[in-house]
Order: sequence, then C-alpha cells, then structure tokens
Amino acid sequence: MSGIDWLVLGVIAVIIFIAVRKIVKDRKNGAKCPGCNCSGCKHSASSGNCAD
Amino acid sequence: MKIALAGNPNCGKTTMFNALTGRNERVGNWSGVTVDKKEASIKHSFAPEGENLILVDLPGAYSLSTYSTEESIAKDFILQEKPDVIINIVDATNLNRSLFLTTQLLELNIPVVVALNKIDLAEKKGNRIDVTALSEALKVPVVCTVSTRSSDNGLPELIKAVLAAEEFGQEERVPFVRNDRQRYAFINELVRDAERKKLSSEQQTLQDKVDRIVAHKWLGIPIFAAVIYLVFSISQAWLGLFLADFFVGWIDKSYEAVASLLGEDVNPVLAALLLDGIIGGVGAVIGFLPLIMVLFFCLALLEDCGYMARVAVVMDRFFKKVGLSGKSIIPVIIGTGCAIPGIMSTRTIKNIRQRRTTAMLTPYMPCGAKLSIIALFAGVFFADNAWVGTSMYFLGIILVFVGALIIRKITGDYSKSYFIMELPEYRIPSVKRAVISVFGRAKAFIIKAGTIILVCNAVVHLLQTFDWKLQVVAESAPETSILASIAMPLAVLFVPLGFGMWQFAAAAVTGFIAKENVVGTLAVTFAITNFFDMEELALVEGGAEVGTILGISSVAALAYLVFNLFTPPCFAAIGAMNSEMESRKWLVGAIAFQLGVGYTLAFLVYQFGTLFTTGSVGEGFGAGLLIVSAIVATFVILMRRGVRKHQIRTSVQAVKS
Repeated sequence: MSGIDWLVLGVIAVIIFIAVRKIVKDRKNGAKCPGCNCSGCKHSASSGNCAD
Repeated sequence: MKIALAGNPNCGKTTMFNALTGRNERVGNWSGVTVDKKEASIKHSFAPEGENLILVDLPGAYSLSTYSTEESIAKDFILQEKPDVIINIVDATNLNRSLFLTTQLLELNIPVVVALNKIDLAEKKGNRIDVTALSEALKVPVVCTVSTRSSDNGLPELIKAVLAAEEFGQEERVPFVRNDRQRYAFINELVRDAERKKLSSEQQTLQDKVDRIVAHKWLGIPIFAAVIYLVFSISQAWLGLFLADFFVGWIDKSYEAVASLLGEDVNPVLAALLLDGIIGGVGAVIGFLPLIMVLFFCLALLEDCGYMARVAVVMDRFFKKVGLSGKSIIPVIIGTGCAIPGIMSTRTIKNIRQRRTTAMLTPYMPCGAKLSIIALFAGVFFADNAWVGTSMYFLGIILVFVGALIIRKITGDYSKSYFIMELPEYRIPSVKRAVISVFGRAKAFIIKAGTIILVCNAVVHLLQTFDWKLQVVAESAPETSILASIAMPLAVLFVPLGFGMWQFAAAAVTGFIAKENVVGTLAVTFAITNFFDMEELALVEGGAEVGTILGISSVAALAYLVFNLFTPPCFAAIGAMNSEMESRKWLVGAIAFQLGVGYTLAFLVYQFGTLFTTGSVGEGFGAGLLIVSAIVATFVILMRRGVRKHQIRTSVQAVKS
C-alpha cells in the first residue's frame, strides 16, 4: 500500500467512524431511527409525532 | 416556571407551542395529531431576561373526566405535576364547547389564562365575542390570539398575562357547579352574554356544499384516487423529476471530482469502496430526495387545507366494517410519512385488539423510505409512472382492510367501537408550514442516508468485493463473493416471485435495516451510481438500460416492488410495533402475517402478470404454489379456529344471560 492508499483508507475510516458514532449517539438519545429526532426520543417525550 | 397548554383537540395548541418555542412539532388540521406531551423553552423574544419559561404542549381533551388515553395524559399532567400557569386555548369559532374544559380547569386553583385562539376565523364568520365580559365572568385574563400569524398574533400579550397571573396567583375557588348539567347551564348563559353569533341561514355554506361531494360515501373514493394520482404525477413525473435532474447533476459532479482527485494511482479496491460503495450508494438514495420532498409538500398542503380529515370520514365506514376503530385512520395516514409515529399513535385506541391490529397494518402504507423504491421501479420499468405509486398507495389501503378482516376472524374478537371526528374548517394551506415540515423530513432523510445507509452500503460493497478467503473477487465471477454466497440460498425462495437473483435477495434483506437500503444495495451490487442520468440511462424514456442492467422483466419488477412494500417494515418500525403491541405473541404473529402476505402478493403479481403478458406461467410456479398454498391454508385454519372461539363465547354469553 502506498502513502496515497493509506490516506484514502484513513478518509474512508473517518467517514464510517462519524456515521457509526452518529448512529450510536442517536440510539443513546432514544431515537428509533437515525435522523429522526422526535418519535421515541427522550428529548421530545416520545411524542409520536414525526415532523422530522 | 412551567406553563401548560391545554384545550380541546384541534384548537391550535401545537401551532401555538411551535410559535412560542420555535420548535417544529407535527401539527395537523384535524383532531388527535398530538398523542403525548411535549416540552420546550419559550423563545427569548417572548420571555423576560433571565427567566426560563418551560412550555408543555398537552394532547387535546374535551374534559378532565377522561375517556381516551391522550385525555388522561393531559389530566394526569395537570393534576400531578401542577404547572405554575395553565394557558387554556379556547377555539373562538366554537366557544360553547371549548368552555366546558375551561370551567373544569378553573376549579383546580392553578392560575389560568385563556387564549381565545382562531379569533380571525371567528370574525370572518361574522361572530363577535365580548372579551371583557368573558374575562369578567370567568375571572381570568382573556387574550385574543392567532397563532398561525407570524406577527400581530397576540402571543407577546399572552405571555405577559401569564407572567402576571403567576405573580399574583389566582383567588381560591370552590367548584362553582355541582354537576355537568349545571356546568352546561353556566356556559350557555355565559356564551349568550359574551358572543354575538351571525345566524347561519338555512342555505348551505360553501363548505357544506364541498363536503357533500368530497366526503360523499361513494364519490369520495374516486376523488381521493384522483387527488393521490395528481400528487404522484406532480412528485414523480413532473416537478419532482425536474428537480431530481438538477440535484443528481450535483451528485454526479462530486462523484467525478472525487474520482479525478483519486486518479489512477490509488488501490482500485479502495477507490471502488469510496466511489461506488460510499458516494455512489448514498448518492443513488439521495437522488430520490427531490421526488420525496415534492410528494410530502403536496401531502402537507392537503392535510393543512382540511382535506385529509375528509378522507378519514370517507374511510371510516370501511374501517368499522372490518372491525377496526375509526381512530385507526389516524395512524394509517400518519404512517404515510413514517411508519414509526403511525404505529406509536395507535396508543390512542382503547380496544387492545384494535390497537394491535392497527399497529400491525399501519406499515402497509408506503412510507417516505419506501417511496424511493417506488420511484426507482416506477421510473425504470414503467414510462407512465404515476399510476404505480397511486396503485401501491391504494393496494396498501386495501391490504389494511383485508388484513383487519382476517385478524378479526383469527382472534375471534368482533367487538366494535365508535369514533366521532370533528371536521375542521377548510382553509388556505400554509406554504410556510408545509415547507418547514418538508425540510424537516429532508434533513432526517439526509442524516439517515449519511449514517445507516452509508454504513450498510460500505459493508455490502466489501462483502461483494471479497470471497471467503478474503481474496478480491474477479469481475467475471461476482457469484463467488461473500455477499453472493450468503444471499443465494435466499434467492432460491424468490425464483417463483421472478427475482431469484442474489443481488435482489441481498437488497431485500438490507431493506429490513432501512427501506432506502433496497435502492442503495441495488446501486452497489449492480454498480449503478445514477438512476436519473437522462442520457445514459434514460429513466423517463422507459429506462430500458437500467432495466437491462437489473435483468428482470417489468412484471418481476412490480412483484419485487410489492414484496418490499408489503413484507415486514424496517427493524425500527418493528421495534415500535413491539412496544405498542406489548405482546411477543402478537409481534411474532404480525411479522409472520406480513411475510406471508408480501410473499403471496408478489407471487400472484409475477405469475398472473407473466401469464397475462407471455401466455404461460413464470419460472418456479409449482414450488411457489406449494409455499403460497401453505400460507393460505395456515390463515384459513387460524381463521376457522377464531370463528369457533367466537361462536363458543357467544353461546356461553347467551346461556349466562
């Protein structure tokens, strides 16, 4: 693997790390689905209303 | 300081909550949209410096003597958590009915401020309300509000009144009525003194005339079908496609920019993972965003103008006939956005069998995630594609009815319940509210694509790049990959459905993680990075090339679409079903039911479609017929057992009485 290969691998790893971290963070906040910040989340008292 | 927003259903509580807090909670021009309480801080522009005012939006309630679950949420919060002040939102267009709750709230010895909301609509009707007389009779401040307006809406005055009420408290009151009859007498007298109502003539109003057509028991159905067809035409054929073309152009440019940045020197496996797995896979899903946004914009306008409430009325009698509650309509309609809130809103249904049945059937309505699959297959295989989306929508509704009928027979529970729904007035829909709602959904869609879809596509790409010895798979032998070897046994089951290829099996499985994954996985496994490129793939011109790459017939494509739409929803929605059903037996039964229905429907579509188009049945007919017969036989046996159970129960009751 050349230097540029390691760089590309690093970029891919960072992208996947950020995505996984967001998924885990959302799960911890109680979101049933990444991106959804309303239904089932603690901060909206599980409103059952999914505007987002 | 905690302030509660309390009032009748559809008096505008959530709209006021959003206006005062800057939040974007779902509002709807009909009752029963809010099913749980929501909390947020009031914006600093309304609150005095250093003061933290917490506003709690409660579900609508007609009284404190609770009947429904959401009413008990409102009652429990007020009685147990004792807010510092209650803002009682009173619908100025329906003063008489709204004041029943007001009189009950006044007896709680918590400071109350009355917000006379929708005052603009009342004035438009020619009604005049003497605010001073009302305030003097109730002995509380009354402030006129129009929370849909961005300025001159009475909200600053309302908060001032709330702060004053909290400071000076409320005089101790003893219940001023002994029973509901006295309460009504008090309200009637009060309304007689405070309200001057323009007498409606015997002639029908314009709204009545429109309702006689739109909410007509027979005419209402073709009108609804036409409206949905128009919505799908706008979103999937006209405006949506036009916007998607621009949008996908940008995605293509970023793909090309990254490709040129990588050049030729980078390891081809890494370059393919980044370009085809991550950027291509996510881009293929994101490409459908404009279509979905336009569709949700149209649906938001329909809901806001009051039309969706009429659809609920049209559908109500069918729901009752199949043993569902009229309240089941609300989860089904909410489920068109996302199945999860739809399933969660079933908690307002009191009858446990009806609640579980509705939670089981709500995912049959095509949600936002499934729309990308519809758009892909409709665009690629069917030139005039608006009918595909419309028919999937109506097939979903039919499945809800048929499913409810089957479940009623299986459970042997023939209980009925009645539902009264107040029809909201027609109004010009707010473009601003629709835009806010659509951008909220778009944000969620992008986050989902950038997280779960991205990770899934990367994993799918890696699994199809390597074989079990972790050697890179040759381009000529993709079936040796890890992904292919996992998906192939499953693909055998799909041969009678017309899509017995490992790529389709893999996409169907990743679809259970999130339905958008179906599109993403197909893009990765078939190495298609753009489903919209007019020149290369000619999506709107019939999509012959994409169809050729995917390698299945139009009939098989329709069967695959049906299979993905009507088999179990994503895991998140299954989780919501689990929490609302509160029964492992029901959950397992629901998943088995959805799998059986999805498989049977896809089989029927493929085999009958192939018979109709080619004159002979499709591949794997015999094996498929065996599987489908077993599914149908299981349903029939369970239904007979349920009917017998019902008969025994009825005879026991007859003997007892």
